[in-house]
Amino acid sequence: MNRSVDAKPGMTAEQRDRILGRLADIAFPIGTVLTIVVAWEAVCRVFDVPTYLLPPPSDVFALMAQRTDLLFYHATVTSGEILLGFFLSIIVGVVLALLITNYRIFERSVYPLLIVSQAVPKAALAPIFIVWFGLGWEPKVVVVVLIAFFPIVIDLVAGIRSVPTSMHKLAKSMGASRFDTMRRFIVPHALPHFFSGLKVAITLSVSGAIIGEFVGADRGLGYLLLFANGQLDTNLLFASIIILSLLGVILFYLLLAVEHLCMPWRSAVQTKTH
Amino acid sequence: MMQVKVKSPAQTSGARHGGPDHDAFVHIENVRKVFSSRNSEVVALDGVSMKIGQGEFVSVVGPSGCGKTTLMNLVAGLEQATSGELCIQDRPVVAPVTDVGIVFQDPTLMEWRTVLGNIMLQIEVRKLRREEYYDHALELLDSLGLSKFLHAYPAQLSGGMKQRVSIARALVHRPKLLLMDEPFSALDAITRDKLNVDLQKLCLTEGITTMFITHSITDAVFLGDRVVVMTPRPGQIARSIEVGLPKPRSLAERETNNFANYAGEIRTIFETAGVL
Repeated sequence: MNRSVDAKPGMTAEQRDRILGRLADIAFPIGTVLTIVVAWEAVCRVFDVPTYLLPPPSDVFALMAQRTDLLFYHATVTSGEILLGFFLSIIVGVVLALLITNYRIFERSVYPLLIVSQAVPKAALAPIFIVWFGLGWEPKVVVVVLIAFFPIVIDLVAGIRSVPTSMHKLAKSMGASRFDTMRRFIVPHALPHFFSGLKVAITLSVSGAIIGEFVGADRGLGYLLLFANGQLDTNLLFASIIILSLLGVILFYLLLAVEHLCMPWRSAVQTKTH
Repeated sequence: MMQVKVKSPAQTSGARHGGPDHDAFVHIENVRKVFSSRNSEVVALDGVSMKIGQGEFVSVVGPSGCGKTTLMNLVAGLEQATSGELCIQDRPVVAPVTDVGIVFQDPTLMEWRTVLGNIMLQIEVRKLRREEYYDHALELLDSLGLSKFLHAYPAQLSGGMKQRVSIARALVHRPKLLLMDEPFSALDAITRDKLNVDLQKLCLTEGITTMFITHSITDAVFLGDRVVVMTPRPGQIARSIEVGLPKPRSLAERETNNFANYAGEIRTIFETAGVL
């Protein structure tokens, strides 16, 4: 809370420490990745590993530079499926969570079924969706939704239920309407839970899209993976895996950024306690 | 739900305070509250009658399980009595009372709002004009020693400071009634003493009618114009004791004979009831 008070030009020691800390947060994981890449390259060269088993990273990067267009095209296809599926999961998850927490009948009928539904392996359902929806993006999105909506519902229900009784009493004593209670008390209180559900959901969404593409597709990174595998093109295989991982990481960090924007109080408190 | 009963004037409790009914701000008459589940019934309150006068500070003291919190919930209209009559300013309480400020044992602050934001929440939800209450909010925060923390988040405050914010929030909209449910019981002894002093000062300047629920005999006597003593199973009012010590009272007064006599009287009631 002193931030506004000492808005002097230049940097205080505290600010400098914070920036250095941030840099370290970024530098350490990058350093780790670089070390692994160097070790990988070294292993390939020293032991003369056949490239169809494990290509050296230099080859993989060379291929990535060469075939950027191809990789980019398939990456956009898969990203589209992931994002569409993820947003639909949010809608499905939020609606279900609201029904479950507001109406007893849904709590008793739908909630137990949800838990049981998780016992069904979604990958096993994917072939049926191909039969139903064809080879386009639709079955992939369905698989993504089926996998990703579950953590959203579970975490949001937990978040809404964790609103303490005293907070409900307080809202009532203020004469808050149902909508106001939702908007000013319940939603912000449940937001941290909601975002932890979303973080699980986004990583599951990536897996969901790949599973969908594995079962039947003519484009997308999952298709490219299988194609490269069939051609014994290990270089392309690794390139696809790297792009896919990058995609997952980027989506996850985008979500983190949105979380920070939605809950500024959390970051404010964290920088204070550092 | 609410039965209006004609009652004989022979009242055991509350009679000491006397006065005609229209003097009473809160009027509770022969209230009974039963919680029933599938195969059991628990009588939380039985035959409870009491009054809180306009501007009076009434402490309700009793051990846990004596129905103090239930009594407060009834006064706040958050629960309905099984039978008996409960009026605020001669109007029966049938829905949540909104002209009230409540302080809970848990500060119940919104962690996503700053100190000032938490207090102004009261104004926003009630759709009152912000400008009219802003100065009052600052005044309250100042008298509670929180002026330097207006823009801090609850997670950055200590337990005592959080409870101070909660008290300011309960008073900012100038309610006619302040209800406090064991507000100090989660605080350490020193913080508690300090808050006792500050709360007393605040209630005197605001001149607000207060129902203060506690299980501390000392806090009850120190703050109360009157102490209502409750005993459990079922929750009943054992006695209502007028505290004849002039206000403001200092912490040191707690060591005086007068003070000790009041505390002793309450302790004796608990001993007789088998609570202590």
